[in-house]
Amino acid sequence: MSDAPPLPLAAPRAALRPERTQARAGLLMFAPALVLMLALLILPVAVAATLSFTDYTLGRPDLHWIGLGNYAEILTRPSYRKMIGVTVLYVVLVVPASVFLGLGAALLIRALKIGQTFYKTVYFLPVMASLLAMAIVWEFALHPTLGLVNRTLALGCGTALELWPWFARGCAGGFPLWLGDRDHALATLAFIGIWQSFGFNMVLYLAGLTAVPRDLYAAAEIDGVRRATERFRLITWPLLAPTTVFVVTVTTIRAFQVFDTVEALTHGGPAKSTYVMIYAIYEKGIAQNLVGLGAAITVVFLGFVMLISAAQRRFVERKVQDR
Amino acid sequence: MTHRFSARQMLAHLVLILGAVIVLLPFYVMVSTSFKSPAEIAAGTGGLFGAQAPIADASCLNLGGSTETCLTRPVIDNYRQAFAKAPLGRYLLNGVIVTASIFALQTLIAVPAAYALAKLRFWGREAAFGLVLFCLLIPVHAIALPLYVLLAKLGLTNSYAALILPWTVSAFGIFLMRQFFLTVPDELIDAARMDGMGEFAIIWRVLLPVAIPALLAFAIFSVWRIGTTISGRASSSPATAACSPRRSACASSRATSTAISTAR
Amino acid sequence: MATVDLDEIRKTFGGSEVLKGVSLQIADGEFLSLVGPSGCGKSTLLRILAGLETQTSGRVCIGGACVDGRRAADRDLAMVFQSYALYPHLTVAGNIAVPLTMRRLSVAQRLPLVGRFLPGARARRAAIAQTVHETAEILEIRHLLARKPGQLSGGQRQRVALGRALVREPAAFLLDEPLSNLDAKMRVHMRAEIAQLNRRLGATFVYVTHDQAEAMTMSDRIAVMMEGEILQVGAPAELYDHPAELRVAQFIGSPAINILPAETGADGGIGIEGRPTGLRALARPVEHLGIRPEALSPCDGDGLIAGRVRLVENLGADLFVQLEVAGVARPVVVRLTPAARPSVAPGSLLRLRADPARITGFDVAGKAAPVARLAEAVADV
Repeated sequence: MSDAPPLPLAAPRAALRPERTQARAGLLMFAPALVLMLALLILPVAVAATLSFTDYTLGRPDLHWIGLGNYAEILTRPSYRKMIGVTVLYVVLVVPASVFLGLGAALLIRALKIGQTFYKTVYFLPVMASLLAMAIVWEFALHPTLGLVNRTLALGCGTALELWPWFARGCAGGFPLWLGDRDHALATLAFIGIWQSFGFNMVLYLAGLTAVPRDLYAAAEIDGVRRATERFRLITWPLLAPTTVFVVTVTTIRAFQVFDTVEALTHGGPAKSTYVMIYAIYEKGIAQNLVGLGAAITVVFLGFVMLISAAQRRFVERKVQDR
Repeated sequence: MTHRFSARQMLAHLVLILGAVIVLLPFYVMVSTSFKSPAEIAAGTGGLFGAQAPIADASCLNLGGSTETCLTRPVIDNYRQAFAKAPLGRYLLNGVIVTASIFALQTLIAVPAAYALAKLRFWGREAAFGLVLFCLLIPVHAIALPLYVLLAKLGLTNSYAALILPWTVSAFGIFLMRQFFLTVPDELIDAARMDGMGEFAIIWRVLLPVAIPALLAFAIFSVWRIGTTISGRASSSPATAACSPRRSACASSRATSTAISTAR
Repeated sequence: MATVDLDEIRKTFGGSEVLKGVSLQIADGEFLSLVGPSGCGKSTLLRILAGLETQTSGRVCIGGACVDGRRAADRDLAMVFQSYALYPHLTVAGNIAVPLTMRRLSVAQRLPLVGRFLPGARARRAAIAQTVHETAEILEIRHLLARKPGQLSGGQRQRVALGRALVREPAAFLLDEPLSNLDAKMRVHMRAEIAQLNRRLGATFVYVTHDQAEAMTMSDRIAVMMEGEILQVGAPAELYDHPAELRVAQFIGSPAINILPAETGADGGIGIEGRPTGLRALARPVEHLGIRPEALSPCDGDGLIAGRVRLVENLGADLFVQLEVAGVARPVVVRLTPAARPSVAPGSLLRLRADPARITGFDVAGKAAPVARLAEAVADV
C-alpha cells in the first residue's frame, strides 16, 4: 500500500463537486431499477429472442437450431397471418373508441353543474374492477339465451325497433351468439375492452383539461369564436395534444396486450376469430409447449409494438416542431 | 352562464346516464346473480334481488337434514357457499400481502430512479430513459415463460417470492413518477440542497411528500394491475373451471362465482 | 459575517462561455447587487457562489477561506429563490426550521416518531422552535407559523423564504430575484424591508436582479453584468453619474439616458449634426454623448438641441416629455416640473440646453471618454 502512487491533489476536491455528487447519486439511484429491469424484463426478452431460433420445448434436454424456421411458419401459415390481422383489427376497434369516449365523457362531465363526482366514479369503476372477474360476468350477461343483453333486446321485439332490419332479423332468427359467433366475437371482446379502458382515459383527459387556462376560452369568446365546436377545435384539442399522445400510446399498447378476456371467454375461437398475438404466445409457448414458436411470436409482437411507438414518437416530435 | 337545469345540461346528463347504464350493466348482473336462486337465474326472473323464496341448502341435505330444517334464503346460501367453496379469506389475505409488498417495493425502486431520471445529470441518462420506455412496451404475458424458467432455476416457484419478484420493477411507475418530478421546480431541490439535505434526503423529505397525489395514482394503477393479473386469476379460476355458460346447468355455481366476484 | 471573493470565475456550458473570467470582491456586511439583462450570467455566478454549480475555472472564497469543492450546505450561505421554493407539505414553522433540523439534529434524531425520544432530541427541538419563533418575530409572521405555503399571499411567502434564510445566521445571504413575483406595491415595500434587514443584521447580501431600480435603491454597490462580464462595479450614484460604458449608462436609470450621436473635429471640438456643442474631447474622439433626462432644461436661445414634442407623460411629481430630434433615432426624453406643462403641448418646438458637468462622452468602443467645456465657450452651453 505504501508504494502506491499518491493521488493527484485535485482528486478529492473534484470528487466533491456538486455535479459529480449528483452524477454519482443519480447512478446509484437508478442502479436497482436498472438491474431489475435487465434481469426481469430484458433478460427474458433476450432468452425469448434466442429460443425463437430453436425448436426448444420444456422438459426436453436437447434443442436444435432451426434458424428462421419459426418465423417462416408465422409468415406463411394462414392461421398466423390471420392472428396478426385479428390483433390489428382489435386495436383498431378499441383505441379510437376508447380514446374518444374517454375524451367525450371528460368534456361532458366537466361541463356539468351537478353530479360530476357521480359520473366520474361510475365510469372509473370498470378500470378498478378485476378484468378477469368482470369477463365472467360479461359472459353471463352476453349468454345467447339466458343473458341479460339478449333478453333485453328481445323485449324490443314487436315495437318500432323492428323497423331496423338488423333488429327484425334478430327477433325472427334469434339475436347474435356474441362470444360464440365468429362474426361477432372479436367485436364483443373489443366492446368489453372499450368498456374497461375508457374510464382511465377519461381520468387522464380530466387531468389534462384542468391544465387548459380558462382565460383562453374568454379570449376566444371575445375574438368572436361563438360555437362550442369551434372553441374545441381552436383551444381544447390543440392544448390536449400532449394528453392525447399519452392516452393513445397507453391505450394502443394495452390493446395490443389483450389477453385476459380472450383466455377467459373465447380461447381464441370461434374459428380463430379472436386468436390475438398474446393469446397465441400463451397457447403455443405454455399450453402446447412449443416454446420456440411461442418465442418467435413474442419477438414479432415486440417488433410490432416498438414500430408503433416509434411511429408515434416521430409523430409527436413533428408536431412539437410545428409549433 | 348556463343554468343548472338548462336544456344543454339536461342533454349532457341524458347522454351520461345512458353511458352509466351500459357501464354498470355487468355490475348489475354480478350483484343480482349473486342474490338469486338457481331457478331464477335459469329463467331470468326475479329482478335485482330475486324473490328470495326459501330453497334447500344442498350441503345441509347431504348431512342428512330434512328439507324443512335446511331451508335458507338464496342470497345467504350463495355467499355461504362462496366463502366455503373458495377459500375467500385466504385469497383476500394473499392478495393484500402480495399487493402491499409489491407496491412498497415498486415505490422503493421507482421513486429514486424517477428522481434520478428527472432531476440529476448523470452519464447515460438518456439511454436509461430509453430503456424505461422500451420496458414499458414489454407485456408480462410475453415474457412469462422465460421468466418462469428463470424462477424455476432459482428454485423460487410456488412461493411468495415468485409472486412478488417479477413485479418489483415497474417501468410504468418510473415513467409516471419521472413525469411528475419534472414538474417539481428545480429551485425547490436547490433550496433543499442549500438547507443541508443530501440527494437521498431530498427524496425522502421533499419529493415523497410532494408526490403523494402522483403516488396515489401509481398505487391505484399498480394495485389494479397486480390485482387483475395475480389475485384475479387465483380467485376466479375456480369459478371459470366450475362453470362455463356454454355448458348446461351450472346456474348454482354461477351464482357462487359471482358472489366471489362481488365479495372481492 | 464574511467577505466574499470571486476570482477569475469562468463557466462554459457546451461550447459557449457564459462567464468570461469574473472577479469581484464583496466586503463584510456589504449589500451588493448583481444586475444585468436576463441571460447575462448573473444567476449562474450566484449559483456558483452558492455551490449549486461548479465553475470551469477560478476560485470562490468566503470569509477568507476558499470553498471550491465544498457542498452548498457546507458553505454557510443562505439563499432566497425567485419562486421562494418553500416546501409545500410543511407549515411555515416547519419550513423555517428545516435548515436547523438538518444541521443541529443527528440522522437518528431526525427520524419521524422515534427521533423525538432519543436523548437530547427534545432539548434541541425546543431550542429550534425558540429560534424559529424569534425569526418569525423579526419578520412579523408569527401568526402564520401554523399555515401551509399554499395558504399564503406572495408577500407572506416572501417573508417565509427570508425567514428560512435568516434562521441560520449564515455568513452571507444570496438572493436570486426575490421580488420579481410580487406586485408593484409589494415590491417597493419589500425592497425597503430587505435593505433594512441588511443594515440590522450587518450581514453580507448578494442580490441578483434584472431590475436596475431595485439595485439602485437597495445596494451599497452595484455590479453591472452583460454577456458574462462585469462592466462596472460601484456605488449607485457613481454608476448613475459616471458610467464607465455606454451599455452601463443605458442600463442604469429610468427613463433611460439620452444618447446623442456626436462627431469630434480635428481640434477635439464636439458637434451634434454639424453644430458645435461647446464641448471638446479631452483624450479620445467622442462618438456619443449621454445626457440624463433631468440634465436637460428648456432655454430661449439656440441651446444644445431642439425638437418637436411628441408625447407628454405626466407622473404627477414629474413631467417626462419626449422630443423628436433630427439626427437622433430614439426620442429624446426631458424631465420637467409639472409647472412647465402649458408650454409643452404636443407638436410645439422645444429648445434644450444641458448642464455640461452632467454630459458623458463615449468613444467609438463605447467606453467613457472625458469631455470638457471649450475654453472660449460661454458659461452655459
